[in-house]
Amino acid sequence: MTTDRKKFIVSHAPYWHNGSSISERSYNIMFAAIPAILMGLIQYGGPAMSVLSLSISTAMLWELLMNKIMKHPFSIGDGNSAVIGLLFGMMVPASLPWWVVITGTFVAVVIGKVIFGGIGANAFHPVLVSISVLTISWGNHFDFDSALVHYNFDFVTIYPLVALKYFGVSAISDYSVADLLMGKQIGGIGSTFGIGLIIGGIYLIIRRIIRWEISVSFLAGIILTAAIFNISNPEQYANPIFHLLTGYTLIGAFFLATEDSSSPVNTVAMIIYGLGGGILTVVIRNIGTYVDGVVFAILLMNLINPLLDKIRPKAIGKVA
Amino acid sequence: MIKRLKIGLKTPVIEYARFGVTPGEAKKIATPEQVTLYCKRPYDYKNLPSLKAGDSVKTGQKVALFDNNNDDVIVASATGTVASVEPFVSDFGKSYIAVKIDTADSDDIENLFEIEDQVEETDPVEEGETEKEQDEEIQEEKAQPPALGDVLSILKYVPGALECDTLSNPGKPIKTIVVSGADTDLIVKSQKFAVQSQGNNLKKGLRILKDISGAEKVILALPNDLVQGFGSVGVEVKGINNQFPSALPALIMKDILDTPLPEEKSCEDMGITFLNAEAVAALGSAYNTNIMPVEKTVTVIMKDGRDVLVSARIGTPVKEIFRELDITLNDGDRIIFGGPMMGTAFYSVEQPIQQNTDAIMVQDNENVQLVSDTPCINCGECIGVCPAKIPVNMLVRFLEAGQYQDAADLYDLYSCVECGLCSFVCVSRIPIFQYIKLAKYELARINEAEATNDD
Repeated sequence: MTTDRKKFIVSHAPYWHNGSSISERSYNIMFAAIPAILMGLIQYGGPAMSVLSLSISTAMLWELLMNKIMKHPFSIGDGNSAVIGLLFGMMVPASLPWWVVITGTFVAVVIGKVIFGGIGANAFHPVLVSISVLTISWGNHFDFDSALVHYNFDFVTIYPLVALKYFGVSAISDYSVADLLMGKQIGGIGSTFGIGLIIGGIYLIIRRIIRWEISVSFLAGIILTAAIFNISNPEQYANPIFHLLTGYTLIGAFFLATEDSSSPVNTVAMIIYGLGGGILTVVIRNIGTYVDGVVFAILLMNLINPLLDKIRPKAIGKVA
Repeated sequence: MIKRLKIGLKTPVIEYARFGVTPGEAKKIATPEQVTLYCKRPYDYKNLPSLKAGDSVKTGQKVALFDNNNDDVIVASATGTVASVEPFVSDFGKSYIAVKIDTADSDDIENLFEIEDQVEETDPVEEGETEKEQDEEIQEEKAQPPALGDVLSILKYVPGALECDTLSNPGKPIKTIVVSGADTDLIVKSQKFAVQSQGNNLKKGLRILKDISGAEKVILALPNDLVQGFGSVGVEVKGINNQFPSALPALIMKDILDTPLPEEKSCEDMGITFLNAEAVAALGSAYNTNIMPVEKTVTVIMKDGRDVLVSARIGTPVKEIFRELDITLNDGDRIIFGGPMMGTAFYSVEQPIQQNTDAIMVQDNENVQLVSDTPCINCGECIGVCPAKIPVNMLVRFLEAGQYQDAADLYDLYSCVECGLCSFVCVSRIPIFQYIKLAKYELARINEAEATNDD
């Protein structure tokens, strides 16, 4: 019989796969970020382009270099470090010097991800680790007002959260909701265009790339806490909508808090995680020293993620 | 291999094949030149089988492999002479005795209940007391309800019989018998086909079960689209929804019987046993015709995804089926016994159809999806899809590290119903299902070794 000597592949069930892959997820995240980035490029022009290009390419190069040094198979094909570079670029001002960008992607990829054990093993969002390290080290480069001082815009060129913190609630009446949604505020390259971020987030949610429970509860946490502050003292604390549309809130809700390995996967845990992040954000903004609280709030929630994920449904047949 | 755009908030649902209203006849595969039958007992060189090459057998004949032992038998699925009796090792190191029979041109069928034959074959020394009584009963009144021992011994060897011997375990009395007419795996239609094409035999089989088994309850669990028409049998009829994997015994227990299976317990420990509709229909047919059924319905899933029902004698090598259906195989293809989610891949086209082979799937090497060694990225897809609510993301970390006992103690290893969905959706393409089976296998080995040490 002719078929007798054929060598067949023997492997374990299942023999089908739904076709998903890590690179597919990464490309989808990058795709979802395009609207927000386009607005940043329109507003800040060439410098924004160079910061983004440099951050994406160096993030990938750092990973490649670490693969080489550690003699691991090359893993940049999964797109994860490209996403890290992209998100880093979206969060920084367009005027960031090249060496800060390279340092930033080094911290994100090498310290934030590779030394924890690579993809899936990072306890914190690599980009947030990097941004917080840089903010503390070279705060002047992350002060959007001084960083973007050479730009002329037809809208208020004071970082909204700075205006709120130092000039009080009266100062924020200059910002209209429509302007904030349309990206008419200064800030990171890809973190100011509210509508773009929301569209990207909804895209990621319906493609099941991110877990909607986290995004929704994060935003709910911000709205609830800001509302409580606002009701208790409208003179001192801004309204929830302002908190929702300024700073890193939207990029945080859809792109940062939802990072796979640093966020929980069980429903109740996800809701606590998101709510906690939202609450901490507003608390830091309203009564902390920093103007924006998203970075530290999410990092703190990343920290308790392993504990949160112990809140899980009982498996079937589990007696105890 | 299924490429489906994932859209929506809810975890996508995978559905079982719906069966058409008029099931076509199953294509009949001619009797092959040689059939291979397995006796589920390890080959022991110190205790060689007394069945020898050259012995002749008749279709439907119960052939004992050893003298003075009626437990280790095969039911010859064709007439002919024994070609060889040899050891065979299956997956997970299961060891069987393989009996090869060269088939003769004519089919000489042995009737099931010729009283003289029964007495001849039954060795009174080895039989249990009750069975002896029942044998006598048959001799006296043949028209009386069938005997428990006969029913059990038929059910053990009919097409559709499950791998384990579920009914005749004296330590664990059976309170409920669930006859399932739903195929557990995707695309497979063999059980549904038995329900639709052998309705009368199935009813007869159900009545026999109800009469003799002593079970308090006999439940017929059918796919929702097939529940009509079985009201008259007098057994409880329940519908199984069409969402994979609701036809698995553990999920039938949870959803239909409302008694979730406690971990590390088997259905039999709970007094519940599962039978396939095909086996029960074959039981009915055995009593209707007085001939032991030897033909198994197999769903053949071709390379292009089409499926064909064939009917082949138990023991037919799959190459015969491939030849009949014009399926050509190349290097790197995959032959799977069972369906796409839970089947077992085999390395040879000589592998025979067995009682529980509901499907044969052939996969072209282009469609063979390989697993990867990428670590878990914690995306949560498996958590959403797991029917047993196992924290798969944590479990797989322990399994990858070989910490099987911790996996069982902390992360619900034994709750797994083995549906394969976690591997199906895994973004990192981790062979999670394989890890789980390996862990269970290793733990069983350790426990066994510890038990022997204690003795």
